[in-house]
Amino acid sequence: MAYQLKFDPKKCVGCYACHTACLDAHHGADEIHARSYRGIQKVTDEEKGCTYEICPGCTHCGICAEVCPTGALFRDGKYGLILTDKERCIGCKACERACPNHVVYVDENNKVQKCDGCIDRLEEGREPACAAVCLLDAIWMEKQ
Amino acid sequence: MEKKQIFCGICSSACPMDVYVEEGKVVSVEGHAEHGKSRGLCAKGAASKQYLYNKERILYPMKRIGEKGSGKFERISWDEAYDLMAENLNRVKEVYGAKSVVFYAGYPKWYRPALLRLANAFGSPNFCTESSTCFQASALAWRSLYGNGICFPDLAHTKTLLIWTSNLFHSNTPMGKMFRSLKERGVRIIVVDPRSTVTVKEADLHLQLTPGTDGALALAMAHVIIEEDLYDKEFVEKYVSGFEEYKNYVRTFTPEKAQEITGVDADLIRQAARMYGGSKPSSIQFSVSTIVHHVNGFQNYRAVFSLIALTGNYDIEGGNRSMPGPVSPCNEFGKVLRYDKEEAIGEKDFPVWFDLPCQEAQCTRLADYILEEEPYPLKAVFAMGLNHRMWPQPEVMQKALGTLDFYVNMELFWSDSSRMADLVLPACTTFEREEVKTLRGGRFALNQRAVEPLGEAKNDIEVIIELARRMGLEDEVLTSGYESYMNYILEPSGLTLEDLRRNPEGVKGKVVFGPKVKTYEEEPFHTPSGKIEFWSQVLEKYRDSRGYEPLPVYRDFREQTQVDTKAYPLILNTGARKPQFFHARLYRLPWLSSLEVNPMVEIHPDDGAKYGVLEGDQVRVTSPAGEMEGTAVYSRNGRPGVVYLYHGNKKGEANNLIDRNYLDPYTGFPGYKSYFCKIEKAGEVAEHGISTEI
Repeated sequence: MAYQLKFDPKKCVGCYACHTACLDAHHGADEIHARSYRGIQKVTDEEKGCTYEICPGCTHCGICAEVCPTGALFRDGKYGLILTDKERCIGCKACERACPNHVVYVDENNKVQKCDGCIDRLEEGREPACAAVCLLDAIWMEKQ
Repeated sequence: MEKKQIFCGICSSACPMDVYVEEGKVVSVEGHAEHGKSRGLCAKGAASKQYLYNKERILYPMKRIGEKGSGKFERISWDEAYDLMAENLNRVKEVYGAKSVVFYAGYPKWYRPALLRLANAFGSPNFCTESSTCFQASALAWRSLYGNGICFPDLAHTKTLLIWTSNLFHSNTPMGKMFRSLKERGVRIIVVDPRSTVTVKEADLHLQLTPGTDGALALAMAHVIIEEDLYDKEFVEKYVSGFEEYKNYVRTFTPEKAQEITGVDADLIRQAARMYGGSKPSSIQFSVSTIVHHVNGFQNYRAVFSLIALTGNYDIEGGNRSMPGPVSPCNEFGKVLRYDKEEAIGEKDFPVWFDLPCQEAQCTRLADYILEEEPYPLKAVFAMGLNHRMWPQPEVMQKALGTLDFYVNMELFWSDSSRMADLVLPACTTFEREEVKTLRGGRFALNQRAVEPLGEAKNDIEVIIELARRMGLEDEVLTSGYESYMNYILEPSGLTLEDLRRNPEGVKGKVVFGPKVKTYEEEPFHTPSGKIEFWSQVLEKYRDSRGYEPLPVYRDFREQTQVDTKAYPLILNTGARKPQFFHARLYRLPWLSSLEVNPMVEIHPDDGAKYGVLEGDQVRVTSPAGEMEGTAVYSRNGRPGVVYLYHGNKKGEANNLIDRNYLDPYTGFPGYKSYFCKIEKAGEVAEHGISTEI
């Protein structure tokens, strides 16, 4: 079974709720420099003459795992999510360059960081934090 | 891990929230799940953990030991704090009289009726709140016409929705899904907004006006509606007072004239007027304060509100309704009357507040009242959640607070306003206290305590009750304790606290009224004439003495001011909602404050080119009242000639720029959204790291 974390940019209004819920799910209140696994991207609607932001995240498409030379990024067997094995990461940034949504990155310790699909919550039968928080259903988990 | 349900208290929406708690600490939060699906939260609510566990939280009662404003405090017990308050407040009362003590309620609003009771029992007419610059002017504009509380749009049945300056996707995020469902149902949507927002992007029609010109736009729409016979003659004839005078006045507001004033194309105004007036039922979605944060704001809003009666969309299905859903009665909020046997502050300056009335004094000029001892000496302030950054030229307010004999502030955080106090008291968040919540649809719920209060933080109402007891003040409701107080709130609904404890998600009142339509057929409008007053008799009283206009007359802010608009050629608009901030209170949450450069100065690229400011430059914004600096960000969403700033930021305070005498003469509301400024590139580029400072 493969889970995909879907994101519809057309429904997104850039309210930052997912961006913040991701921080709440993975970090303590005192981790003030924590980085969200969801990004912020500026987009322009030429027809309406309006520039706004959207918050894309990892869809677990697997492109990063394909380009990873060491297997530090891999698809897990149970949910089909792309997870990380930090031990194997050599900090080459191939994943960072390949990610179409710019949401995989190499941190200050030279190790890959990315969305884990809130796998702990899935184990508890809950939704990922970003899907749960989105008031406009722009993010959802889909079983394939 | 335990899951508890509370209601978010960061803004007033009270969104239900599931809190995951482990070993007495909040681990994470989620929107309350219904049928296995979370209903979601906004960014502010999602960042709650950093709000609750913020390192700037006040944890104990703290007494000033250094100079005023020095920030030097020592911890004292609650017992000592109560004694200190009773002693000082009673001393001021003995020497200067009870009215010399001001009781002030900041944000949030839930404890206001209890604080008003305290002020009444103490004998001071000076109960005032942050509503002196927020929302109340909108409520008064409505009441001057219709005599009741603002009627909201009946979204479930409307065919045309006119959204007047609300970017609801960012200011009222939980409403977004409902908004989209209207579009799916084929409702036509018109948005009035100076900027192209994400809400505008999904509308059928956008009237992009110059900030502060709402009145001219509404009058021109009325002009078209009357000229093209789209108005409801029968309703107007029967229920409106002053229609002939109004009709004569709007005759001069042609769409072409309005185009000159507002910048909105005359044909678009016609189209909007036909859409709103011609496809009933139509309704108007308001926002809290955007229209009244202009010096002609009160009259502008009267002009907008008049459209509802003009088109017969008042209190009908799909229009703006007084009771669109069931309601259950309760005590307290809006029910406690202010002691008014003596002159209150603001009464001479803004008599409409007291005539209409709104059960609070008007403290927009509080700094001057304190410093000038006007209309009499004010020597003590008992405040809950006072933040001087709310007022224009906040440093004058801060200075005034520093001159008081005694100033107490009960707060969540160590704000600068708290540092100026003689005594600081630690308040609770909604995670830490029980509170009766009034929900939509005639429902009530009890906000549970998810965790124990941090440090010695207390529930505001419990503090009010204990202080009243220590001072020996008489109040039938306060003296019986908090548990009994909560039951008193519920009494008219037929519910008790026990019912609420058994139903954590909320329960419907046993006594329920409505929904209703056309309530005016049963009882007259609560105005002096008993009709809807396009011609306001309350305003007419002050026609000679103060120059108030009984009709919703448009006066342009650009013609009313002494400001040299050649020296300050740009319009300054402050405080337009952002999804991550709420006034001054969330800058101290790094997860939110790091979302954008801050302070951000939003300018149009044409203005950037004209005044030599590039995107990313450090830019100085100067007005006749003061200056601030921030980072320039280019945006084409607004028109050239307008600068947009968010307020309440210690690192660059937008309110420094607003002259504290630049006020709407009817309501005292500052013109936060249409003042004047200039921009220039500033010398140094400041660091834009994450700020955890207050």
